[in-house]
Amino acid sequence: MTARGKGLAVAPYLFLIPALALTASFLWALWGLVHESLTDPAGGVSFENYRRMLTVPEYRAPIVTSLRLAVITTLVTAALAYPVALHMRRMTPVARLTVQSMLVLVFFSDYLLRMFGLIILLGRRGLLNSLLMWTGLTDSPFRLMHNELGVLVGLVSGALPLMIFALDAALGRIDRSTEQAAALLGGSPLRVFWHVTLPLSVPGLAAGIVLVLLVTVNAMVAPALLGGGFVVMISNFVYDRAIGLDERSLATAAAVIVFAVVVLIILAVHAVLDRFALRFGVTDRGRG
Amino acid sequence: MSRLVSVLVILFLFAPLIATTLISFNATPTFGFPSQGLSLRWYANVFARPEFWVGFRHSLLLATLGTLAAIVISTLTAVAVVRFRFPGRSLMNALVMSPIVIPEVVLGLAILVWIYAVLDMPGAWALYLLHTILVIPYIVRMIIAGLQGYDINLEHAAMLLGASPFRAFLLITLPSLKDHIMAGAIVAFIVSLHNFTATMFLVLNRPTLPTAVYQYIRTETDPTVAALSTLLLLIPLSVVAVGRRWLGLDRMVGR
Repeated sequence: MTARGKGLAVAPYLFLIPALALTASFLWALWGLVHESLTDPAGGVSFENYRRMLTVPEYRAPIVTSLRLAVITTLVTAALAYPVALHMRRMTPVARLTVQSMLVLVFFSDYLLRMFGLIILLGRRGLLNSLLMWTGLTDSPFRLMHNELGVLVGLVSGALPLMIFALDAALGRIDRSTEQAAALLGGSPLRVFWHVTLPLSVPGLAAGIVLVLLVTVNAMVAPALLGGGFVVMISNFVYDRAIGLDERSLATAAAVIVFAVVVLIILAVHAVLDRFALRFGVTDRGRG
Repeated sequence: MSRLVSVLVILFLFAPLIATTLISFNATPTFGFPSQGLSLRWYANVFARPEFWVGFRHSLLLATLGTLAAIVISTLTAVAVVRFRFPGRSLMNALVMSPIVIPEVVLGLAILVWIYAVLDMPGAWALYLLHTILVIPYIVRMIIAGLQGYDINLEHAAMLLGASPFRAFLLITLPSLKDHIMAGAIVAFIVSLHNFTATMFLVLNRPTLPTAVYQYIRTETDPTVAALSTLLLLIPLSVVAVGRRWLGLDRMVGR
């Protein structure tokens, strides 16, 4: 099964027939989505759905909410994941494997059920509130969910393992002697982190940011369960309009906008990363 | 400092799982503290409610068929991409990996409005198609990595000894890719089993396990789902066990 001579030029395409059929089917479906979003009820071409999505405040709100929560989630996960990944690097191999196993365990447990776990914890009569009231620390329950705070807790909880995996992998590729050299030349631990470790881990951070943004824009369960109807993110909007309210053409326009936003974010992160690589000579080459 | 943060982060990530496990043994239909006694009634209820069993079987079927189809397609694709140089090679690589960056609502709605509604494909088929598309990136990435690290001389040796290229691949190369295929298949199976958002667009009236659980959470407030959730922890636990024993955990989280 190796290429031998020019007679086999057609061989790779034969291997690719199933994959081509599959990719063709979803590309065709994506084209259909765009087509549907541009079709008016009379069958003509119209940008009306997009105009409504971007100008009617009620329709624009879920996009704005999603972007806001995505940015906050990314910042919070990065801030929480860095200390963990740095700490994992200093661990003994056995301890490190234990922490990795725990993270994999969380990551491969059902997202929906983890959100249900957060309902048990954060609900009005949930574990945290009843514990606080039982100990007498408070007389009335706190509102820990059915608001953006609750959704944010869910989003961070869902995305955090991804960021830790990405940073752990990036930090693992850094040559320790670089940091040791910086320390020997008199750099304080904070300076070494800021000027050596952090720049060298940027490719991993970028990968983590893309992953976290993706899962956050995808989020439908967290806002639906923890937002209690008060927080509508873009995925909820698309689903509710398409299935619940039977406004499919508006939903398709919303979906196309989500896709465009995701593509723009990925391109922006890569553009920033390229500039950064030029300046610091850091690339993400060598990633699997 | 980073030690403290690490402990708190791990605690934060485990808190939902610990909470569900604790509440699943509650005697009363509440989520509060202190507990009013212990009972296994919610576990009994998991098995008494038909929708969970129906959903679980449907999810298993989807995950099995989707993963098997994806293994075949991915193996062929990986061979083409790793062993041949041809026009469109990197485009093809990007295309099979692309479902990972397509938002789930986009994929779900696109298949619903176009393939299901326009092409009139039966709902069950549209779901199989969706799940195959969803899991292919996880498997193809793994097999490509396996093929790139494989010593092709072994295959040449088999051919020198008289095996046809196909036989040499099947009997010599494929078995040595076993670990990569397994690791990819496990991740793919779980991604499919847990998929919720895209699946919601296409389940129609035949629930999968996550959509059945979602419906239950929306309508009932008792610890039945907590009991189910505790039982389902067996899945990630076995992944960790298999990952540590045979396949390497690093590989499973995409490195």
